[in-house]
Amino acid sequence: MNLEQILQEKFGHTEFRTGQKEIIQSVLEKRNVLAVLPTGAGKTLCYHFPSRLIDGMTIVVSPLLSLMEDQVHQLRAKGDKNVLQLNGMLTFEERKHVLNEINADTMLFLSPEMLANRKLLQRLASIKNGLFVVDEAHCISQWGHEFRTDYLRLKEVIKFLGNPSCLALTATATNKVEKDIIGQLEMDDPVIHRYSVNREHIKFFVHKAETKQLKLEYLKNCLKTLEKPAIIYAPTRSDTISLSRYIESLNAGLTAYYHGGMSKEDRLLVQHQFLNNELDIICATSAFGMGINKPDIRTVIHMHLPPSAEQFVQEAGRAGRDEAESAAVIIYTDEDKYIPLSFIDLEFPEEQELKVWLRTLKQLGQNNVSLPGDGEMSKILQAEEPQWKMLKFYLEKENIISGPVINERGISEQLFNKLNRQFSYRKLEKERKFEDMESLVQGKTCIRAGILRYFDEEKEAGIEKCCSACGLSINDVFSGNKNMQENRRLPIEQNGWKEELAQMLIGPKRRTIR
Amino acid sequence: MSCLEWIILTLINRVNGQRTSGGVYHLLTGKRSAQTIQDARLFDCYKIAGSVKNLSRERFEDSVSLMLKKGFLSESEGNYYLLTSKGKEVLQTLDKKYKLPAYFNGGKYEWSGLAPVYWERFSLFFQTLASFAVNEKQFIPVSYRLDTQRWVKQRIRELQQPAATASEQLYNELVEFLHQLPEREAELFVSRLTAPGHTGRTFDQLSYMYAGDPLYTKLFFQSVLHLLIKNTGENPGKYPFLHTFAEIKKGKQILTASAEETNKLLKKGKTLEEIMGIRGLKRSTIEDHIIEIAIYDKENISNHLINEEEASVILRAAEETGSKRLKQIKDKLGGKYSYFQIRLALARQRER
Ligand SMILES: Nc1ncnc2c1ncn2[C@@H]1O[C@H](COP(=O)(O)OP(=O)(O)OP(=O)(O)O)[C@@H](O)[C@H]1O
Ligand SMILES: [Mg+2]
Ligand SMILES: [Zn+2]
Repeated sequence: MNLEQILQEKFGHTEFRTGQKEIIQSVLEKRNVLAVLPTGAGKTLCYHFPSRLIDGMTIVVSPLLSLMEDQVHQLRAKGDKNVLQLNGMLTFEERKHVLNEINADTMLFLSPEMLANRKLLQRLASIKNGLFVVDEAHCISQWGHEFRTDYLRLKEVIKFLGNPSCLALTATATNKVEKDIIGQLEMDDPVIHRYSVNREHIKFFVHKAETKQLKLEYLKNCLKTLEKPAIIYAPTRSDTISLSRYIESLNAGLTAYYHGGMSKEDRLLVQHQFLNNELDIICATSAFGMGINKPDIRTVIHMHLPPSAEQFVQEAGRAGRDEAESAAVIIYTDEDKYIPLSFIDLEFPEEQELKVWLRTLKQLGQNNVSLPGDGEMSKILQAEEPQWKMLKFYLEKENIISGPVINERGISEQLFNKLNRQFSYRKLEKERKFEDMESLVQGKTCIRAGILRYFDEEKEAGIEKCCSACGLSINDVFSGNKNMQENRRLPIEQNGWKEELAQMLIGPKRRTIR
Repeated sequence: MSCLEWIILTLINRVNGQRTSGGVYHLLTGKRSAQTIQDARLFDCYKIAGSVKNLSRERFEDSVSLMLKKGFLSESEGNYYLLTSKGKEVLQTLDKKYKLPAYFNGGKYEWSGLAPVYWERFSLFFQTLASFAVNEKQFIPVSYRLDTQRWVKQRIRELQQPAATASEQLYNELVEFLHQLPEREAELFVSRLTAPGHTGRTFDQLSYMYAGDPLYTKLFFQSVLHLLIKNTGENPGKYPFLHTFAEIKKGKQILTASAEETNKLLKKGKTLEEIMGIRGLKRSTIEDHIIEIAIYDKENISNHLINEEEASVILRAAEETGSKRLKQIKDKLGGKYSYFQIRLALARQRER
């Protein structure tokens, strides 16, 4: 059987999308592969497909828990029951169950913290491993968004599992990040498949407003023309709430908000409603997005400046996964830059703070205290938990912390200076990333060209009228306001709960109920 | 003032300065520690305890300091709070606006985790049958929990009748149950359910039903759920489907994992000291486990640690002192009983 036939039979697609076949072929040849394919291009298929053919289990490391859960459930819902997952949220019993079930046909999603679990790895190593995948691989780069010692373990783990071939995938990698990924995974003789980050059918629009009020005014006008479904990104949780109230007041469509502080059940319900077209607009923080694979999102609006071009491209990339015309809009004011800048400020310790932290740690070490858990430790240091995790990351790298042991002898003036330098550097690096984002929108030059340049690409000639800087207006893309009419539900008071219940459980067709 | 402030004021009023704000917070969130479980009984707030399980500590502290600032609360040294006369007035007004819904019993159904487990299973089972009804065999489940998914799958596999018949049966049972409720509560309950094209609504989306307050709305939903568990448990014959979602493997889920270990050893007849040795844990930790077990366990395996007679002496003393502080009870008893024995006696006292 040739690959196209398999694609048709097992995955129900008629043809490969750009890049997929090349990447899959390299993987089937057992090469180590780094694949850079734009958002929504179909990276999942690049490992799902080979996992069905190769001899041995496929392990997929996925950096974000919610992303992983969504992805696993989507794949299972499509009927592939060989897809399983292991993450820190599972109970002991559930974990045991999964470890019993895995076999050479399994495609197993792992969250990074699982990589530190020896026993679990031993179980994984007892099965033949065919392919090791790192999805969203930009996260493991030291320029990635999070500090996790677990990422440093990846290369050992690959060896421990008997050196299966390795596939790293991302949509957003500069040349620097690309090199870093290859280094982190110690990929031997890698094949690099790099495709343009550009997505032609997403059109970019930037609008700078003078005041917050005018920002909302502009949004209101936009919503008259822009098509739904739409995601509107806001910087904080409370912003998502007030924004959704505002949109409700405009009657611009059915709206809900979504942020990381909601209960898991409510988050899933909102997500389901959106996927089912029971909502037109979702107002969300960056907690929403990565796992969302809704093909027909027409519009993504940012009501602030994202902290980096990567994040902007990832979030805007939720739009138009069906390859139809879509819009990515940024509406900002000058003041918006202070929010990300102050977030960056909060992330790193002041010199004095760092001194106190190290002193406290030294004391703990001298008293032979074994290292407390992360929550406890951040309380002791009076630091935010991410701050402590970042410090821990560096201390582990310097061998000051190994497991629960604090090697207090290593805590010295010298160490302080080194850490302080590293933190200042990281901070600068982050500020620069934000500046890059800022200059994408502030310049009078083409936004698309700016994005491509950021990712070390040249803009191909021939994309005319591609963004607001090139003279495109929203009306050129969308003609009128199309609210989605399907799946509109009457309020439950209309027909009463009994009728509603009957419709849900028994269906409109055959109902012979009292 | 929102429902949350009402609940916080209510609890601070009950505790009446005998516990720190931390103790009050644990009551609100239903912390599964022996101390808190006992406090719920002592301060007669068993029903409202555990009513805001996912309240963050920050949110709680914010709310308390706001009420301090407004003069509803006064603080005595060491984080003990009392209602001021202004606070009492406010609480009286709020008591007119908010009422604990009729069947709500946090201590019984939320604390143990029974109601959430029941709901997860039931709503996924419902979604599954509803999807079958429109021939959708594949759907994204409302619950991501693997054990719930496994449990429901098993239930579906064991069905004695065709799915369509099962749906009708479930429908009839639900109608039977919901009919006894006020219209609003039945509407609320049905609105939370998910079927193809009918995704459940969040409490925020349903808050228009109850004073625009999502938390208050949630309390009503939970109240219906508590009644459902109660009714179906009392009358399983009438609810062949609905009563099964409350099934819990013996001792499972109710106890914390570590207390469960201790429980197993106790059942094997090990003594407290032996368990300390085997598990390498401190006496106080094992004692906490035993208190936790005593609260939930009906078989009274702690009988050999304290007998009925001793227990009733202690309980009488507790009644007489009228205080909730263990120290005072201990003094009243002339130091004859240890703190552990007193706590154990109080723990075994069944729900009032
Ligand atoms: N060959 C194909 N033909 C048609 N549709 C496809 C094909 N490959 C993938 N798709 C669909 O494209 C959508 C996006 O795929 P996928 O989620 O893998 O994107 P991605 O590259 O991982 O994006 P992101 O970077 O945002 O994670 C999915 O709905 C998938 O079913
Ligand atoms: Mg992807
Ligand atoms: Zn352009």
